[in-house]
Amino acid sequence: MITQPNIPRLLASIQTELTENVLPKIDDATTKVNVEMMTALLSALTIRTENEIAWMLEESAAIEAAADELLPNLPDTEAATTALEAHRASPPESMRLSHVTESYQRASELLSLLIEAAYSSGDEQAITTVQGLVNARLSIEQEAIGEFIAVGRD
Amino acid sequence: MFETNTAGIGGTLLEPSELPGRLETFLSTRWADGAPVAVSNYAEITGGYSRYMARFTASHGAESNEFVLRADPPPGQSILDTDRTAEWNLVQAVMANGGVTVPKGLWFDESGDELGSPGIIFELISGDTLYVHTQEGEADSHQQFTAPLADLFAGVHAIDTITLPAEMERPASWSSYIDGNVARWAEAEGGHAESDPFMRAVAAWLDTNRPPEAPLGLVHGDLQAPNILVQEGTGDFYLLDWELSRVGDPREDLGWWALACRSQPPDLIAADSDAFYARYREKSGLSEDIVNPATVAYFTVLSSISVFSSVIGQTASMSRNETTAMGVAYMTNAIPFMHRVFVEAMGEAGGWQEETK
Repeated sequence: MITQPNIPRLLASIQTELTENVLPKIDDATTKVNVEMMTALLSALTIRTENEIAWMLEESAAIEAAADELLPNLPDTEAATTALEAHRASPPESMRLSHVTESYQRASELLSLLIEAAYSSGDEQAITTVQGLVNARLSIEQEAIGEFIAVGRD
Repeated sequence: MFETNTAGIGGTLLEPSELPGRLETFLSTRWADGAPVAVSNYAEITGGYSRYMARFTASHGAESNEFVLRADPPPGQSILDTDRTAEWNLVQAVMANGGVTVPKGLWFDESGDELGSPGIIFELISGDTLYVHTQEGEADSHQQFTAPLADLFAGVHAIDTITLPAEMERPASWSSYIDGNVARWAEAEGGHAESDPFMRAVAAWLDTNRPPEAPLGLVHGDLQAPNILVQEGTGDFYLLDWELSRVGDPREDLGWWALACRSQPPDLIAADSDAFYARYREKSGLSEDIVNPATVAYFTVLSSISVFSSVIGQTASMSRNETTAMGVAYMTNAIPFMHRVFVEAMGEAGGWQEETK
């Protein structure tokens, strides 16, 4: 199969073509805004295609580790415990994006349940731990999209 | 309020290429006593992410005027689906109240049978938005707008809710209103295409970090610089886009302003916050305990549920292959942006450690 130029490189080429050669020739305001949206999306997709699978696997592992640490010490964790078991019972079938995404969604639900359990307990240390997981997810999201400036608002 | 847009009651759908002709027929009976009307200079207005907007000139006999059409877009094109009848009724009430200046809502095709989808014709006010006015120079070089902006916020919040349309929901109490919004955060995740831990975190945080109570009143719901028109010549502010208005906590508008300015800088309030808040407190009668950066940050988070839930609902429809609209695809970049604003606002309001693990 063809791997070079890789997907991020190809997406970057499309983005450059749209920005430098297509956009300046568009007179219609609505079409211009749509193309500006496309280039912003392509910028994020370029980063996502390079990193997304690794990011999902790494974050899933971190959530799992946090669950192991938190669940024995928190009350009312039946739902989170069940979610942890479900996550462990169904690792990704392959490294295909769809399979990793399915597994990541189970990890995300586990994180959501950990957040609820932490806040319900009022345990400050547990709350700090789940906030750290949310902050870590946020850092990855920001790496993917960069600064978001709404296009076409003038 | 934010169900998927099935615009076009009676099977009609907005078709932009047909609109000049439809407007000629529509205006003939409303504006020209049945005489023929000619529509010219028809141009779509970009910049809004929800409604279809266009400006045009209409003429009959020797009379000629400029108008703005605001209508529901074709299905799947908008990031928000809101009710034109509710907006029309509210604009009429605000016009009658007089405390805040709005472009006059002149005529309304409620069924959408005539224009192709429910649409309102407004008078056209000449001028640029406050956003355009502030795109040059540093944020603190626009201080001439600080006082009128504070007055505008206070003006909206001073409108007596008794004068608002009867169908607008009035919360039973401040506590029940906050309870309802916290619940909306938890419930809205059901409309998402995937589990979103930020939403569960926000719901839990909102519930445990409530600020002091404030009197409920009219909330514009989308008070941001692109929705403020500065009239050419007079410099008067005209407040646009009342589709997200509700009765709620007035600090929601202040919080939403801060969020909107993150993606559409500069933030005129942050650039001169002492002056702005002093004036707003004076005009609104709300104390510093109630209106301060920390309480406003709480409402940056709380106020965004309407737009955020609608955005995730639309992106979910794209996940189900129900729309290919570029505006909806673009919003997948807005979701992480809003996550960041929520986390930063929670840090500012208190009760959230922003350092990453």
